[in-house]
Amino acid sequence: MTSLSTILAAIERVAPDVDASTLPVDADFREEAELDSMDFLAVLNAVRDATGIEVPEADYREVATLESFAAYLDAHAG
Amino acid sequence: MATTTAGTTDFVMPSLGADMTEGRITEWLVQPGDSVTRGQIVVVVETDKSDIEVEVFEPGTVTELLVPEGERVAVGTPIARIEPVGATPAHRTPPAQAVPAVPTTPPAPRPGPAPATPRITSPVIRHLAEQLDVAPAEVRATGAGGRVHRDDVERAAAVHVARPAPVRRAQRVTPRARKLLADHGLDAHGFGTDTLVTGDVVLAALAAPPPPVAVAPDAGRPDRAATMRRHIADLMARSWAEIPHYHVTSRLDLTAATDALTRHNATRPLAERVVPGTALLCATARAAAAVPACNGWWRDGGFVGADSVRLGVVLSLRSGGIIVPTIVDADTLGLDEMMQRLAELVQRARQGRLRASDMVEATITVTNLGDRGAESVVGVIQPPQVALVGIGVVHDGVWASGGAAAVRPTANATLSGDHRAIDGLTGSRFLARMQTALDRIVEQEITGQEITRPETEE
Repeated sequence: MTSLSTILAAIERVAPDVDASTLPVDADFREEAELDSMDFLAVLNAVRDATGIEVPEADYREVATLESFAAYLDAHAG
Repeated sequence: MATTTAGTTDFVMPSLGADMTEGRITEWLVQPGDSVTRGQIVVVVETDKSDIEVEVFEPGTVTELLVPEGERVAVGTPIARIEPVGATPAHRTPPAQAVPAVPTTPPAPRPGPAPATPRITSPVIRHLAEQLDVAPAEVRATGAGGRVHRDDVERAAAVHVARPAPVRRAQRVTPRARKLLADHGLDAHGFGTDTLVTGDVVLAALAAPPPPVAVAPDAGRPDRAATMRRHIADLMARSWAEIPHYHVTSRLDLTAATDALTRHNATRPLAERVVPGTALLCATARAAAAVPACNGWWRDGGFVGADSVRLGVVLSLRSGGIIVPTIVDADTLGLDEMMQRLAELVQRARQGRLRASDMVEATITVTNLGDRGAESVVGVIQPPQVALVGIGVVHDGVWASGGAAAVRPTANATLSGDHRAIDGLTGSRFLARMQTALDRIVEQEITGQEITRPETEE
């Protein structure tokens, strides 16, 4: 699974009413998908479960968009 | 719970909300003969707003289920009999299939039908019901004088097809039958528990007149969104009409709290991080403990104070509408515990599986718009409570300090008060105590002090 698809799957698990594939990759996905802070933590948890990568609070800004989040995961993989 | 024959206790349909008059048994999680422990979930009840998991509070043995799945009964109706631990075995009532203790009708194949069971008078429609394995109790009769029409039966059957239920333990289905069912996207629920479901039985059913066109998964269930909207509308209208509201507002300085949360989260793994709203809930609960005049109910023309803080938390459902579960003893919880409680409630609310213990009556309610709301919210009190706390989004605000302007994280807190019970001064004190509580939480988190109740006002 690509990093992007992992993230999309996590979003859909937390917010089943969202079709994550329609979210623009360069916008703040929390706003686009109307996720609040608890939802966001849940997404990070789901991504962590899938990839083992945990995003510290200090790095939240780096994972604000889908494409930056995917890049972050690729950079921290392995 | 009322005690009937010596030894058994009636487990009744609980009230799971102030306005609830009846509930429908969605699923029994126990059978006669099962022993149950304190806090064990034994039945799932469908209400207008959510499926609620109902627990028992005393250990014992289930002796009888009185109301079958799918049936709707009034609050207070006995739905099961449980023999408490230590009760006299000699008085044990016989298991499920027996006639109920107070029969008014001849023995029925299913335990204790409610008096309102529709009677299917037409032989043709009765045959259809048998064919579709629809019990009379499951049919909602729409005809004049309670007559059951053909489409009433078909609608009840559609619930079977469209809402796959777990195969009940007593049901026997052969592997070939399972495969056939799976191939056709059906489940075994419609076959009842009396027959051994073989491949031939499935083939015969498939060859029979086709069931009605599959409808949306919630067919036969109340349209939750519409019902919820109506409920909210009624409650808000009643509140606004009956309660003389006043409002006081204050800005909360979240500098210290935000710093503490950042430090707290930096050392915690993802699963233990705390969202800012948690600190606000803790502060609200502690203010309620400190100003008990705001923590209770208006009943029979007077204020009745509560002995603990049961904080109602307004949750927005993604599908629209709100639900307000309760966090008990909210003033005694630290940040981590409050976060955990909140996360559990949000998850259960989203899945539509709240528990009866989540729905106990609150003593005060808070509505926190979270991250993407307006800067302040002035809410409508949930009767019979006397106060509602509204908290707007946390945002950077200009703050006058030492004669100069500074920028600090702030949030606007509003208390809507019932002027029959409390006046503006008390409301103002409440908001002041929220700020104190916020700062005190911060102190406690840093120093690891034990949480004690703040000194009570007046």
